[in-house]
Amino acid sequence: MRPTAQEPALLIMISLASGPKHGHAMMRDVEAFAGAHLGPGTLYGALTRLDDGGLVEPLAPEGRRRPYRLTPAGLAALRARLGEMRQALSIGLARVAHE
Amino acid sequence: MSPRLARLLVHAYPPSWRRRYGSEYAALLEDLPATPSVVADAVRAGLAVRGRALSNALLTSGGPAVTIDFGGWHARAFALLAIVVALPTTIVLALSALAYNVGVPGMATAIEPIQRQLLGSKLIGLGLMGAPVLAFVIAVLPVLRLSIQREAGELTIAFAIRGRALTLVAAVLSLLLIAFFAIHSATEFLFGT
Repeated sequence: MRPTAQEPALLIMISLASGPKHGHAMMRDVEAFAGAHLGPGTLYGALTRLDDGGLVEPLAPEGRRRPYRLTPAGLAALRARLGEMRQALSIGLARVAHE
Repeated sequence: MSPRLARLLVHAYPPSWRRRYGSEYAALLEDLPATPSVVADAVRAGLAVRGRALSNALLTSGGPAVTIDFGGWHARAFALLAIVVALPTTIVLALSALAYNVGVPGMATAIEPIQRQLLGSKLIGLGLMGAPVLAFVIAVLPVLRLSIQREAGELTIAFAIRGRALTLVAAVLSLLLIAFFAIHSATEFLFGT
């Protein structure tokens, strides 16, 4: 099943966990690891919210492109979210294994 | 996509957002192909940000003003388009006035077959009546500046129109046509003529 971009903010944070990236690099990375295509508006909508929430921060622009990186608060939030997902995933897998 | 289309899509967002992200977002759009899904996603997201900014301005006190401003974007081209949209209605009404109000000899006989054809189709009739409204919107929207702000519990809505001579011509023409249809409909309703 092809994953959908239901959680663009989470996908962006996972992408930035491997290092700072600008918008187009994030789109390509998300497509590569999740198979989800984020539109430019969806990407910047989520990026704006993450930036406002202090979970990502802009770096100095490279030409007209501006890379972003996870802040320490963003990394902590990502760890917490992935931990919750891992717990839900393991419970879900265990339950379907018994069916 | 072309820088021109990218700039247009960036304008779907409010000015405050454009000042912060506009340049890098335009660069990203230029890197992408202009497919319908990319364009639709950019327009949808831009309008969503505008909607959120508008509701924030209406609900929160002392927030930044929301400004809907097309910055006079291609105002002359849009004014010209508005005149073109209003032209068929203008011609039909002008010919009718010449034939029945001024009484130009032979004019009534000449235009009657055309009028019968036009009035026979509800779609064309509605199109001719709706065209001035559409023309007015096309002409005025690019030069309109609407600012909404809520401060100290009071809502302030300010309009401003950036002057363009051709816009004025198109707007006045559209308004005259709209006024004609309004008066004509009111007369028909009141006197049944």
